[in-house]
Amino acid sequence: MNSSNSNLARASTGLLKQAAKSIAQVILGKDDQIRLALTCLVAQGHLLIEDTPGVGKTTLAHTIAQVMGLDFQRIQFTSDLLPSDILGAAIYNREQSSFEFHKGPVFSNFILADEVNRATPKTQSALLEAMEERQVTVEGATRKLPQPFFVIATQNPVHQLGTYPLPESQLDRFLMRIHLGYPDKKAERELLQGADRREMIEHLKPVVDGGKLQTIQKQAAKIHVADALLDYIQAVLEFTRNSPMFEFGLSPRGGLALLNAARSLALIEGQEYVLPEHIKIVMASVVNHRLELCTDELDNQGKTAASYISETVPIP
Amino acid sequence: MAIDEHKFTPVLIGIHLVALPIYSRLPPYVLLLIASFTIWTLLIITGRTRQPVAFIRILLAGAVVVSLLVSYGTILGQEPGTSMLLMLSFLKLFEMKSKRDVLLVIFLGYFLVATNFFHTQSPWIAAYVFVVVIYLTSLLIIFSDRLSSTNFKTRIKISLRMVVQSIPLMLILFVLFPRIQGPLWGIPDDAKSAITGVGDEMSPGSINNLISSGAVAFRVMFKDEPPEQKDLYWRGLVLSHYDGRTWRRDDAPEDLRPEIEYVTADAKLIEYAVMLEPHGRKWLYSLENLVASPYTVTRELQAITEKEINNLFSYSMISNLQATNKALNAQEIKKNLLLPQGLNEKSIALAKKLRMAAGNNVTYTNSVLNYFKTNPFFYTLSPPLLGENAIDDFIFNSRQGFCEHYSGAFVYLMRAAGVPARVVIGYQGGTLNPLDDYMIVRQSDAHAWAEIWLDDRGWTRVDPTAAVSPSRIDYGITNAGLEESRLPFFLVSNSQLLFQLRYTIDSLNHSWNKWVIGFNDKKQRELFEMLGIKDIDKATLFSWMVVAMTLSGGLVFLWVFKQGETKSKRDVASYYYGVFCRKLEKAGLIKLPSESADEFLARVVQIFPASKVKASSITHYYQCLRYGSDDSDKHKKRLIDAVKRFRAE
Repeated sequence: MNSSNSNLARASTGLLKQAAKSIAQVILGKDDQIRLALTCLVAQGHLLIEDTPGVGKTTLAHTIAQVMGLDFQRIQFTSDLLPSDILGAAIYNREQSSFEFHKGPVFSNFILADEVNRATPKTQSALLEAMEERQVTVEGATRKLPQPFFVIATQNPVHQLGTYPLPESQLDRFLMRIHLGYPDKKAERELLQGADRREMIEHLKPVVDGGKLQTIQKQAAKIHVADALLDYIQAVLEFTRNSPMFEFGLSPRGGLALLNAARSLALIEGQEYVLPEHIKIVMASVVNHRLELCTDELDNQGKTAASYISETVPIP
Repeated sequence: MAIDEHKFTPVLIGIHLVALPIYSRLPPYVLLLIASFTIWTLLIITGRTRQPVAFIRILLAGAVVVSLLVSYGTILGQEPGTSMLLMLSFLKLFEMKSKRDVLLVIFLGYFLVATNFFHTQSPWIAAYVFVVVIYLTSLLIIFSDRLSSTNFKTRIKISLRMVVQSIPLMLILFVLFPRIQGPLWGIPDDAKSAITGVGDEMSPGSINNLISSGAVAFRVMFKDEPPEQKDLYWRGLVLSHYDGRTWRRDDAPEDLRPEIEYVTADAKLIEYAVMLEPHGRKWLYSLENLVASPYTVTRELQAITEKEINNLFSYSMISNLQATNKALNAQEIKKNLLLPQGLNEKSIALAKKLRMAAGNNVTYTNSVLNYFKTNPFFYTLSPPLLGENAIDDFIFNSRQGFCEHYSGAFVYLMRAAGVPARVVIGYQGGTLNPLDDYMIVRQSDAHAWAEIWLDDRGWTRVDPTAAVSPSRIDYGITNAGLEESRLPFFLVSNSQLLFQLRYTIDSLNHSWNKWVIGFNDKKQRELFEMLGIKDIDKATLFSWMVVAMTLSGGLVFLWVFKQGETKSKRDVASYYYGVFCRKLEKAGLIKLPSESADEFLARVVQIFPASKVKASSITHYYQCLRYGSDDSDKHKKRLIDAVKRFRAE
């Protein structure tokens, strides 16, 4: 890595640390989740947050958007939401007597898809396709989505009523899935004592903007990855494919997800290269929603696919 | 280490796979025990019952011994021995507690699967054993894979690779292992009881039972062109003694006198090599007028070995079809004229009448053959039963018979008229394998014919069956106009595909016999002579084998060692980090393979807080070198220094 590059990387790390700090002012006691959410954003992936209502999913998304200086759109998913409500539609213009395309909320840098599993599969897939392709095709015309483009989808636990759970193939399109969980005692107290979160968000100053974020994203892709680390990722992939504990192994996309997430994390941590440690940190959020455990045995021990992999696969 | 009960299932399958080929030979009591052991094990696996207590297990072991004593009368010998080991393997499942127990069962499986070769050494069983060995090896992988990180497919792949890697060692053993003539163990041998082939006596029905067997009797390779079909008389045994029902060999001790008188016509010698399938007897099959044989030849021109042939046996011989055997002494004349007293008066009368009319023996022979030809005699595989005067009954009443009837009746008529005559049994004909250069002679080619003594020609072959059914001799058994339902299916089928398949399979069998089973003491010596090493003895061979095994093992070791070495040279970081880990290991802290350097560092600091700074810098340098892009010597030097000075405290 030459010096100008390493300077850029250092600057990126600084900005990201600052952003994390800002977000942590609003979202209390959730430093790990904030770090993972930023990792996901830097890795140009999309994030799925799964938790019960009221733990701050929306607030987290809103805060990130504000701090990153991205234009923010929230789409509340309901069972009667239609694909055109997300993508936009062609509407007849009487004066010019022609159809005119009205862009839907998806044409933003930062989208919060709230309670994504309340909508019908058809609507879900409209969003998920846009996420994957980073473009939208309506009425035969293809329109590029703005860059950077980042989706945070929130999901209620699947067993709740009135949900259409996302199929595995759709889950795979999210780089990470995280849980927020309840705040600890200290954070809870601070939250109860503190000011209104909504107001706080409005007063937060953006740390970066869309253009800077793109530079940071490019910087993350340049983080050095040693052969030994690729060996480790391949060992993980091979293990998930051969072990009888899993229904299916990780896809090649899953492998890339691990690598990209680890690179972004390394950048956030200010490391010049990726360590197995980074893989282990992102493992749970990258891997758990892509793998299905075959036996209840591990579930009963409170183990997830990720912890099982971390504890089993030798580091080359 | 305790064993999960669900892991019993593959072991249970393994034992069944090992035993599959011998199930058809096991007695009912043994099969019953095996079935009940299997069901019991399944109940244990599914958790419906527990492993029986020691007392019950001892009772069951007693039941095993009793079942063997009831079925075989002994627990010694091949079959009882293998059955016992098999049943004990099943019993072992009842007390499987540790890995050691499982390994015992699997290694016993390796031995048991090899015992299949006691019974047959066909390429099919070899292929089967190969497959089972791969499966057994995959079982070993299950039990050494503590993390259950492999599935069935991977295990089979690894196991296949291991078995294939062992092929060079197998070849060394195959080529160099000293061949021991005769059976390897002096255990009671019960293999020959069920072998098909021409027996040592002939009574009505003894040959036509063979006709329905498609089994190969022997295969022949001719040095030059094979003789014509009608000259392919494979002599097995000469039968001179008749008791009114059965033709037998001479009871008198064999008068071995190899000097045989030949009338040498323009000698066209036929050289051929025979690969005889085991038939449990001592005699060898050869064409007529044996000129040269590596084995003892009797006065009756039978080649005989010292031991019963219970394994594939190959030999070379030379015959001269134009020659004639003129050796005869007074005792032999007497022997070959004997008839049982007071039987078959009508036949004797017929013989005398025809002989009177004929004038000389040659004409007489022709008129007897003519008698068979002109009267309504039938060639059939299902002749009616004959009465007490069997020959009379056949010649004057039933007139339906197979080659043993015709040859027997013919010899009887000859002897009745004072012409010395005898029955010869063996095979007639053979099929060339169109895909390969050899001839197949099957059990269905079994035949009986006659030899008569003519003063000027010596012993002359006469085949009365040819008089009744000439096509049997000229075109083989399938064209003899016999009932097709009695012949082996594949011999009468017209399907081109079946025809191809049959000869391809036989060709494979032949090559297997020639190159694998047939690689005996002699072939081994020939191989070394070809390489310029003469008169190699078994001890030398054995020591060579040991040397070759050691060398190849050493090469593999060197290769593995070298690989490890180059890797450590290339990767200084891993090497010295390993040294660091070993130092900590001695201090009682072991790094888990799945632990990252940082995770390990956290534990190190917890237990040896004083080493925090040094351990941290070692971890840092290691990570820099191994995962970073900068592998400068400066870092390497620092790492090496730090590791060398490191002490866990």
